[in-house]
Amino acid sequence: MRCKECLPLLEEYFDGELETAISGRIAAHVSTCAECASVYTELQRDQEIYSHYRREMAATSAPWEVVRAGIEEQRAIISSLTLSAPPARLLIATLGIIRSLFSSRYALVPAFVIAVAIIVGLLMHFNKNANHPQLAWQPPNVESAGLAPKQADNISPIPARSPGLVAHGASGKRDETQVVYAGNRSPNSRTVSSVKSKRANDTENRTRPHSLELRREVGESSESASLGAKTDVRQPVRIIFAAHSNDDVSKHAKEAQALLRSFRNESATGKDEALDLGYERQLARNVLDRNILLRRDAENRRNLPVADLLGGLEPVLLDIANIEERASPDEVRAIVGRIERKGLVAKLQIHTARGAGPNFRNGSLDQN
Amino acid sequence: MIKALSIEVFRLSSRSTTSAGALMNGSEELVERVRHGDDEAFRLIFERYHRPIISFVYDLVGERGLAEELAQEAFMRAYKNVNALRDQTKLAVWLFGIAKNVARESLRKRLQQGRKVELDDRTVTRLHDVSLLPDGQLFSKELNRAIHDALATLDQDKRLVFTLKVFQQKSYQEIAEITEFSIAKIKTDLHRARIEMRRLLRPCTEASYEM
Repeated sequence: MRCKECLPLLEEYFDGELETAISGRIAAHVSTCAECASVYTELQRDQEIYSHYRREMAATSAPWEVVRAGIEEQRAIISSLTLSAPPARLLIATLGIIRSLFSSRYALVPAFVIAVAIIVGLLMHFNKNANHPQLAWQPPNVESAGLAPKQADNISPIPARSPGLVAHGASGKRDETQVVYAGNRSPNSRTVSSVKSKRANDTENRTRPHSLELRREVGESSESASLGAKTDVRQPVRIIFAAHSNDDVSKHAKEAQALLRSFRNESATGKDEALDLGYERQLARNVLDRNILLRRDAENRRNLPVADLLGGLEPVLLDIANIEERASPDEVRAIVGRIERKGLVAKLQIHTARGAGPNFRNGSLDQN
Repeated sequence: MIKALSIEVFRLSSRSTTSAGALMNGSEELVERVRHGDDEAFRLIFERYHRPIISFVYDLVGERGLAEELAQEAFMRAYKNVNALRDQTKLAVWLFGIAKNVARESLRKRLQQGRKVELDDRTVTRLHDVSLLPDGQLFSKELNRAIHDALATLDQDKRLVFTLKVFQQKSYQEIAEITEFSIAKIKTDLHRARIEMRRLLRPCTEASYEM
């Protein structure tokens, strides 16, 4: 053995922590090496000094008396607790078991078991919710989403599910997708004339750029995109594509037609000053949201005529939704020109008139 | 008179025999008896381990009065939690572990209160003034004081490991169980503590050996 090997092990050798074989080799080396022997001697000398270290520790019986008094005090407390109270005794026993579990060096084991049990419980809970038809999707609770009633009232109508999304019922039958409004209003109660009178109030709350909402709607395909981040989008949803009814499309076409007419009429005033189109802009945002859903649904169902109609309508709605609140007449006229070139009002009118008819149901707008 | 004296002698001799017999009891048996509510068994445990425990605590906290209080606290905790002792053969390790926790809690509390941790009140300490070293040299009061002060300068971990190894003669494995440190950390801390202590004591030891 060389000094380089011996020196690092010398303290362990001195402390008697090495195996016999290694100890023998070190002993042999120390007996022949002056340098290592001096280190070893120094350790011995230190230990000799420490072994004579004296502390002032009086050997009296007083400490035991104190300890005994403390023990008796503890015992008195426990017995007073457990005299006539079996539940208290049970509680103390349970606490004792728990304490003994966690005070041992194997405390990690029960902690790990409890952690696993909690995780499994949570997983089972979420899995159960995901499989439960009533819990598969719930309309966002406006209050729990942290929105004030006034804010909620101004939220645009939100489709209950992402484009064509629906939950299976217990029977396995597909539910028709409904349009759910997060606010207090229903879509049908908001006619052009009634809402126009509220234009001033609505205009106050139009602050968010619509392009943001649209991006969320399209990009995330989230049922709560219009609610933004305040809505819990993590709810487990069983997603399938489902059909919207023709009635939904007809209602939508009717509303879009009213919007386009209103927009066209505003531009027909012939004034050269900027036009107040706040109402049309807001209405276009609402209609646009639904238009995207219905267009996608039609595409999924391979209902090409409806998809074409709604696809043609979409850019115009987007233009109106993003128009300045005080728009210039030229800008408005350009959009109106596009509406007329595409014949959108006429197409929507035909759709509205024949929406319930057998020909439309077959997907043809041009028949009859 | 003679009869009375002989009865007294018999009583004393029988008491010492009982005590010696009791001290022969193994840790396992004593622990088992304590679990069944035998306070006498706990007294035997106390007698057996009180001195090393109080010395150990004293080395950690450095105050005699506080060390006594903490040692008592450690024994009371041990009595209260005797059911938590899994391996009854490791009673000593378990007791030292409790004492270490009690001492560390006290030190932490004192640090939180902003008090400087100083070892002992010199006036109370009664040292063995004229202990003789094997080579006949006096183990001076100053050297005792120097060891005491040098210990105080070590950081808590090193002081703990050093005390357990050098003063309590515990093995690395036992120290690991008491402190919950790894063996590698114990070796490192012990090595550094030894060097540090040697450096601090050098002036005193050299003077002592020169006498």
